[in-house]
Amino acid sequence: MSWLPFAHALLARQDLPVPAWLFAWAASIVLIVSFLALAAAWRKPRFEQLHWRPLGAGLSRAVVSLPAQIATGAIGVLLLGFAIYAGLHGTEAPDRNFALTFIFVTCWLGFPVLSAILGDVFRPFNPWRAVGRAAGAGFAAVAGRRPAHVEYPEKVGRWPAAIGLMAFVWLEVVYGASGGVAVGLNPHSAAVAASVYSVYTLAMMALFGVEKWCERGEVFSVYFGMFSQLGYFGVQDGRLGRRRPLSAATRWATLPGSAAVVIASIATTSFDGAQEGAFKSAIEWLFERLANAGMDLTTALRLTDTVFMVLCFLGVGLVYLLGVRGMRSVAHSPSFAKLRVGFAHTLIPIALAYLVAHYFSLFVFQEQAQFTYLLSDPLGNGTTDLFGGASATIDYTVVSAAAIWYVQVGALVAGHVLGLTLAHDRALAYWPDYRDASRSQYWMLAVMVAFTCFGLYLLSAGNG
Amino acid sequence: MRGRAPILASMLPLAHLGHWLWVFYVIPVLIVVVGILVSGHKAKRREERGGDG
Repeated sequence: MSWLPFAHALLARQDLPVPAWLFAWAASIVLIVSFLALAAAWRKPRFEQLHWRPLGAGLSRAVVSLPAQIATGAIGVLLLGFAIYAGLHGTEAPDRNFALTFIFVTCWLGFPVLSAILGDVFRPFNPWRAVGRAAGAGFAAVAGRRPAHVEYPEKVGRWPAAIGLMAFVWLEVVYGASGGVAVGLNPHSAAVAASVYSVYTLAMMALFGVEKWCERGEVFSVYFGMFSQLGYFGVQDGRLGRRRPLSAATRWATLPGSAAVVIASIATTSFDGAQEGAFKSAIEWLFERLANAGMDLTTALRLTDTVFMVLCFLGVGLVYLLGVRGMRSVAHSPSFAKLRVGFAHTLIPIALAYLVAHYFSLFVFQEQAQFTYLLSDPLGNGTTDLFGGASATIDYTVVSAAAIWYVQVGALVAGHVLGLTLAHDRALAYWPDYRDASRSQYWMLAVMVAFTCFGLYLLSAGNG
Repeated sequence: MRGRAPILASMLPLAHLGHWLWVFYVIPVLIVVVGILVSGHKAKRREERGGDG
């Protein structure tokens, strides 16, 4: 375990007072009671307005000012550059190289949680945005005009980000480690992928404009930005302010492809959790068929995992669409298309819950490495000890297996209750009668119970 | 007696019980779905009766 930084399967639980499936029953009861409480007591929409209040002008200037943006952007560029350098020139041992833990754990898992609490904290640190804006400013200074851009095809919306999100996770869990067997991803591959992505992103920014691409196609901006819609702070007209938590989410999904982004998030986490547990037998079955058909073993493994990842996306999407379809059975219902877009944001807390539940222990363990030996000896070749932590090790007893399980269950239940709350609130905005609105949410309750039980099953099967 | 344990193990399906644990996770979903269907059916019948009357 100590040498496998991406072995997501967690420690075996040994001291739970009741069987794991009873937690799924209890979580379902919590959701049903929450649903009834919402139906009885929540009769007016409360999240449709942001209730935005500006913070003090001094604080706002300090955070949003151009020097602050230049400083944070420069930090982002430096960290990206260093991660790429470490990947290219550091050790090939994944657990000793700064690049992998920094990209796939610290950033990939840290920013969603920070964003969900505070707001869009990635935006000022986004290295590609910083480079794109600097290049745009340089062009304007030389040419005397702002760079011209091609009009972005609005129908495409956030689909590039959804596909990019799937590709990023695919790189880690399929290309890098299919079925728990390392087949490809090493720090060098990660660095090459980061370089290729940087070139692609800067090209797209040059083509469509920096902010346009960050809003729609840049995977990390869209992904972290999605979670930031739940957060407390936001920037409006260049001013930092507070808003009602969750309220910004109600406007997020209006662009095409937004639902695909959040569904991709849930699906990829589900796949990562299921590939060595719930789906293991099915994956082995298909893998054997492909291998017996004469396919190269590595290709067969990757193809099998890819098929199951896509199936996860389709499955999660189908469950969501069934919930939306169920709403149509209630009188005075809006169109299916409006409902499909209008309720997509209710899945954001679920995506966050899946992320926390699935990766909590990985994050706790790997961040010890990040802030000790990976920071002191980032290349991992034993030549540096910058902060005196190069010989540190990960303490796997820092959090018990039972504590991990309770965090996982708590995250899943809280995420789904928030999802139910957002869905109920949106229904109140769509249906004139609050009784119809509550009735319309019966099927969303089923969706939430299904996602909760599925998530707990994945965790229990993965942990067992 | 020594030969009986393997025979019993092969006869009883308990060894494969773990493969069926997912059923316990589906039950709450089924209960909610059945509840929704029954409730929807009752509401429909109520509306029909209201329409007749």
